[in-house]
Amino acid sequence: MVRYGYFNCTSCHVSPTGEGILTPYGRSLSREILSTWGKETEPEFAYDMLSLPPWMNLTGKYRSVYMYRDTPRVREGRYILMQLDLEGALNYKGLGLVGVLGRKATTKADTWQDHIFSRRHYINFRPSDEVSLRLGKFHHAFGINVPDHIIPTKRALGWDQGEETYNFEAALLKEQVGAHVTAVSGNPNVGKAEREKGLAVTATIFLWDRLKPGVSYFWGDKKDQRRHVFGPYGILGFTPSFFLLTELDFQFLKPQTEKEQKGLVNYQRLDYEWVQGFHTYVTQEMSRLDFKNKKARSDAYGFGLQFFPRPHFEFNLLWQKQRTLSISPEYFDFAWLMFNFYL
Amino acid sequence: MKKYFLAFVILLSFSADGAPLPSQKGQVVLPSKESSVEFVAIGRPTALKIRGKGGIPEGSFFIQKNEVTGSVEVILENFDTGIGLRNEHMRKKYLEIEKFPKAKLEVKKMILPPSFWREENTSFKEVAYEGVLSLHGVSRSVQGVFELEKRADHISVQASFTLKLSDFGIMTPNFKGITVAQDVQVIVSFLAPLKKI
Repeated sequence: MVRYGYFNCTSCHVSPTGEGILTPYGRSLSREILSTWGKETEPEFAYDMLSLPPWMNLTGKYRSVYMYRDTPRVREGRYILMQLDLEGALNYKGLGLVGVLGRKATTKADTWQDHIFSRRHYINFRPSDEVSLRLGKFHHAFGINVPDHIIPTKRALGWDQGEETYNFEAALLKEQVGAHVTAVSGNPNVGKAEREKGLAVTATIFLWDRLKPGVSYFWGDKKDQRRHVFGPYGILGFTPSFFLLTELDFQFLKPQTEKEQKGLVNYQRLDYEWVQGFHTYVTQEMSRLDFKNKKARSDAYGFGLQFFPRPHFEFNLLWQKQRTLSISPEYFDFAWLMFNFYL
Repeated sequence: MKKYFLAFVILLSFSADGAPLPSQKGQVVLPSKESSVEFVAIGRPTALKIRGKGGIPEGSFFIQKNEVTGSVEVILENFDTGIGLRNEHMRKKYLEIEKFPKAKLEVKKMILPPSFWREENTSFKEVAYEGVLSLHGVSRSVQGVFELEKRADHISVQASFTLKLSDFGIMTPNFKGITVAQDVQVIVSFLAPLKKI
């Protein structure tokens, strides 16, 4: 939405970092500038069949992917149910409560309760328009926040879906500049030895009403290693139809018993919207987290189609040539078709 | 005595460097090739910047010595904020363009620095001016600043002022939790030939 002059995520999302439940304004924009077709009340919660009080937001989400890969080791097609969530937000005079309850994909379930979890819940306080304070479980701000969680700048750095942490975040959300400082207390779903605590800082600037370059830094500390991750990123809207998402992060990792590892990850997506709601894009991504180990490298190039036919619906098809040197020097085919529906 | 007086008059018509003084009268007619009117409004509480583009200024300015007079009008329907529904609300609900299709800025006090006529190429910034803005059926005085660049027989101008919506009887725009701030900045820009008269 940066390409339309929306610098801060909070116009469309309740969350200051832009994931999850939409604001009423965000729902309206999903018809106005995101979807190909749509009627006036169509973006509303439950298609406007249920009326909510102004202090309450609700949504439901179904997100699945059909994945295909053809590697030297395996050739398979697989359906994955990624999210089946209910999310609610209550707002009263600058104070917000947000919570998600969803289905957890796990093989270690004895009872049905083991399949239920909350990926996100937090208290958000806005003492003024430009300041946000947040306490709870969520992904800390770092780089570009895109829903594609398997890209190297997310998964390879340990910030995949399901790896949300308990945090305290202070954010400055001005017209031309933004900053997030987050104290990270770790992922409660892992053991104490694996729990990484740290500090994340991001800063962005808004240029010519369409360009949002920024920098991020993360310092992490867990029982047997410390790391620094930092790098630039940009959400660059060249025109309202043509934009680039780009992120490059360097990681310095110091395990207690091994030598320091230096490496980088990157992700780029160049996108063109042909008609409102219909996008084609190309991607490039790379992970090389240890420069000294030549096999610790993977990269991919892809071509994608993304379609938002009507409010509530999204289809995203990506076909990639992927290479993982620890498996094979050859590129192999990887594709996925994602379907997203929110109520 | 008559001879001395004639010499004095001839001397007056030359500047210090010996060249004849220009007429010190000029006219600028709009729209020109590069002329526009834009506005910038801020949506609260998310610091959303709303830029309305597409306004074309029409009118003319007269410059006599260093004093500028004249006015420009703009057709409000031409403003485009980039989102269809927002445009519709702006035009129909808030600006009520069927009743008030145009806005007009009449310059009341705009003084150019002395270098304007003296030098062929000159520029200056942050010069204050006053005018009367007629918008939404209300006329009120506004104060702003302008910058000007003169290159031979062309001038480039960017003038801005801030208006308060309630001063002009315009309802505060509000949509789904986003409220537009009262102060809206208006920017008039043009590059136009300076016709000496």
